[in-house]
Amino acid sequence: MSAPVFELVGVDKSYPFFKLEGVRLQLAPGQIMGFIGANGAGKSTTIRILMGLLPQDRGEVRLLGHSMPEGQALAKRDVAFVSEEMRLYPVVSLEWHMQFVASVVPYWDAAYAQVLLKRFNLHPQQKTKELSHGQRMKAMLLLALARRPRLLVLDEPMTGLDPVARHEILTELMSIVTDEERSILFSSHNTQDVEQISDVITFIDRGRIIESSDKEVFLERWRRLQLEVPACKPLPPFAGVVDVASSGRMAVVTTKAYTPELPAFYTQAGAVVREVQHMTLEEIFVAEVMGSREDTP
Amino acid sequence: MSNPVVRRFILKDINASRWTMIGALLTAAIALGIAGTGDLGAYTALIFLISAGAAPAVFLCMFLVMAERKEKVHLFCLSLPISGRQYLLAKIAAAATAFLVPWALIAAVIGVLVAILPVPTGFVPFGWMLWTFALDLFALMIAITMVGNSDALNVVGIIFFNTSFGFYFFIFGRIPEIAHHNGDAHAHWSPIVFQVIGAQLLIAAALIAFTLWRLTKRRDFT
Repeated sequence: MSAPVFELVGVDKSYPFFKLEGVRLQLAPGQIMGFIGANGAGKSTTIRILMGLLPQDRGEVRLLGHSMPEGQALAKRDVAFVSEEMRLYPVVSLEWHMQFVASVVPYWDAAYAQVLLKRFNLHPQQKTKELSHGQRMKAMLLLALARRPRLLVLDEPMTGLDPVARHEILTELMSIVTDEERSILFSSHNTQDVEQISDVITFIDRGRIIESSDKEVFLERWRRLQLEVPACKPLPPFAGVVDVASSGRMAVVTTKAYTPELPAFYTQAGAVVREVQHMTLEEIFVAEVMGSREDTP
Repeated sequence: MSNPVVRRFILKDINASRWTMIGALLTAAIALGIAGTGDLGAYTALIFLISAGAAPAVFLCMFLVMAERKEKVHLFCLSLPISGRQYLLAKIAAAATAFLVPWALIAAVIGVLVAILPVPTGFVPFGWMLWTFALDLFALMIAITMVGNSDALNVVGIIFFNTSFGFYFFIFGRIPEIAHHNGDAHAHWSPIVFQVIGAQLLIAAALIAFTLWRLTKRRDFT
């Protein structure tokens, strides 16, 4: 098995009113990780630690085999990073930025940069202070993608973008990972964007990783069952059931460990299984977060 | 600075500072042009020369350091293959070059003019004191903007900068060994002039050393 492109082991970071606790995360080459969390959950702090912008209080961080933050200059030769917060030099053009980036990185794909200019409808002579938010994000993505990095780290790249711009960017991201060696870490609080492109999903809440696994496994495991339950007959417990919401004779059971035995179990218990539904990533995220918060003292 | 990426960052910032450097040289040229046009001309030339020597310190720190951090452009820079410390060292190197090149050029031109022209030179010792004081202000602004990382401290630094020359004239301009000879035909190099210049150079060096030392301890580059 190839070495992970990045690895965080037992990473802690404390602030007066926020704490990142025991973060353990890794990504295999060629995979896209959707990193989902509510605002203030710790996504950006985790990414900044990964990129060497912030030191961890405890724990180990390795990026493309380099220990962070010490090895950041070498690691960043093959890692591109775009964040919603990031800005370009306002009084110079996109072309200036392209030339500058090309002069400091080990590889710059000028032909691909031209393709992206056309695809994103960007004008290289335009000063970046004249760009709209969507154009600026596309410009930063162009500067990152034309480096052909082994790892692309995107911190909330879709925030504030219109649906067309989101589609353009997602399409481009999906096209670059046809190369099995390139990986993406994509943070967002919007589960729809992440669901479209990710292989691996990681949920973070209140500074702790609450779940991280393959997207298909996630979607397969989480189900919602609609049951009709005879009056005065309580539903027996079953492993993996995280929530039971009852209204009269109807009950909705949410499980994080669905197996085909579950409907049979409820049928045996006297209930009628009306429907077994798949859940969206957003529904799963909300259920995970609520479950995690109930478990946390 | 053998690292080619660091060198490229320094050149980028020097290029971005070119108008500040040109502005300093033009201001000094205007000062020299009007210096011999009477008392008002001489006074205006003095103000212009002080501005040419010292004001770039504020401009450079504002545009190269403060604005870049405030506008979050530093995050773009730090997404490139450079460490946080290398990035800040490149900033100091670029700011120092952009400040010292016009500072040294103006000093050299004035030195040559004073040597070859039949002009009174009584003010030259105090002029050198003022000129080296500009180095302290530059080093102080660098320390405040690079180490402080606070808007309030930056404002305090700029206020201090703006008022400092007034206090400098008030404190050092009234020292008898200096004040009594400013209007002389020939320069009078009393020991106190050398002591003040030496102390100012030491202070500038200490401030830069402190800034570099603090940067080796810095680990948060957000």
